[in-house]
Amino acid sequence: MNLFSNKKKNDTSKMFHILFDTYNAKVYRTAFYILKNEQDSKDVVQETFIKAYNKIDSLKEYDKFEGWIYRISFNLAIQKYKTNKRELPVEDLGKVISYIDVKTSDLPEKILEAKEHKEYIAQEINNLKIEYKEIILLYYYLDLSYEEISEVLNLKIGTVKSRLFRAKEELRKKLRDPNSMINSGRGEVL
Amino acid sequence: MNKKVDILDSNIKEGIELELNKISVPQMEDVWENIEKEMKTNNKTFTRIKKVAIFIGVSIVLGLLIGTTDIYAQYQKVLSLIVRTMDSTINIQSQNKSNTPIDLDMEQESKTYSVTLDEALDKSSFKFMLPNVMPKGYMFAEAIINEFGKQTISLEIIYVSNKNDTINIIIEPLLGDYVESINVNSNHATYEKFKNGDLTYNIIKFKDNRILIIFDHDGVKYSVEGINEEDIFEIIQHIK
Repeated sequence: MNLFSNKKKNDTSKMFHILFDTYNAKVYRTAFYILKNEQDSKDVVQETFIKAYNKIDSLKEYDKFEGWIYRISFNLAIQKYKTNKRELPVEDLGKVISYIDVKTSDLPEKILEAKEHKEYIAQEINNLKIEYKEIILLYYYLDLSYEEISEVLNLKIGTVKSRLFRAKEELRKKLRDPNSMINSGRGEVL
Repeated sequence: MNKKVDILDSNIKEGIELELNKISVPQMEDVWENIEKEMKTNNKTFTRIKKVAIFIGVSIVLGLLIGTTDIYAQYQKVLSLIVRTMDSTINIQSQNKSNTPIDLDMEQESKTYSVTLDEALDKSSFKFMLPNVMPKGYMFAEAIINEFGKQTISLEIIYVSNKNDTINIIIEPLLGDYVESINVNSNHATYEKFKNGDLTYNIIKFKDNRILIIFDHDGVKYSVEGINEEDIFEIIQHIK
């Protein structure tokens, strides 16, 4: 009985399926955050894992798989976003822009103590400039290092650090400014 | 990765995680099917994918996943299990801190090869038990050993009956700190726990009649899978 050769083939698929199960949700959410579209985001998940499978020999450090796959997905989502943006008529662009919907009566001081504080921060992140939003996504959500971000964005590490610093400063200013919450609709998707 | 964290950092992290975790993830079966199709056209070696999986601590669940698409598991060590039912999913979680260091040299190649039962006993880097009696009609068919450098990661022993029923026993050493999460879709399987002396058997019965029993003894995990429930219970009683 030669179960071995078939088993090996099946095991490759099962092992990769485990990797897929482990990371597909975060890849999807990142793509959706950028694209705001389910089908495009699922396409990004598919393309990401196919690319990872085909390029797995280029991954030198095995413990870097997670960061590596997020970098692939981020790049693919950004590429798709840029393609979609070119394809969309100008008047449709507004439909993909995320809006803030916060009651103007809420004050930051109150919110700071409430559960909504985190949501408020998330909304203010949405209001940041595109380059600040993407660096926050890469650093805080995808947990990439400065080095990894510099590869994704094709920037020097020093530039990554200073951009992240400026993004945080911008956010700090917004969190201190009570009027910032009523400025809905300023957000721009990545 | 060492990141200096201040209050604003943790607020931003929590805020963005909250925002993204609100995004519900749709079913991904179709996506996986397409990926699998692509994998068939570009047949990669098992070794590299396995190394990646080993490093992220999922390799030793391989046996558990055989033919069980509704089970997802991520392991490092199992000692106790907490079972919780959520909607249609039975979630089995466990975690345990161990002082046993994982001694894997990542420069080494991983190897998977077929051996006889005697060779398996001889080559394995850890001690394990085998059934000292087999149900009537069952014969040893094949043993497959997975090695990473000098470390045996898992051993699979396959028995086949004269009616062509198969029983697989996956034997894995529990390495390092262990965390496990198994999600069993209760539409497709049931879960129960059975204690016998010092051993706790975790029994997952699938609607397609397959049965999987997981237990650990002396730092080694055993997963026994097959169709015939009676035969499987007989086997686990004789693993000594």
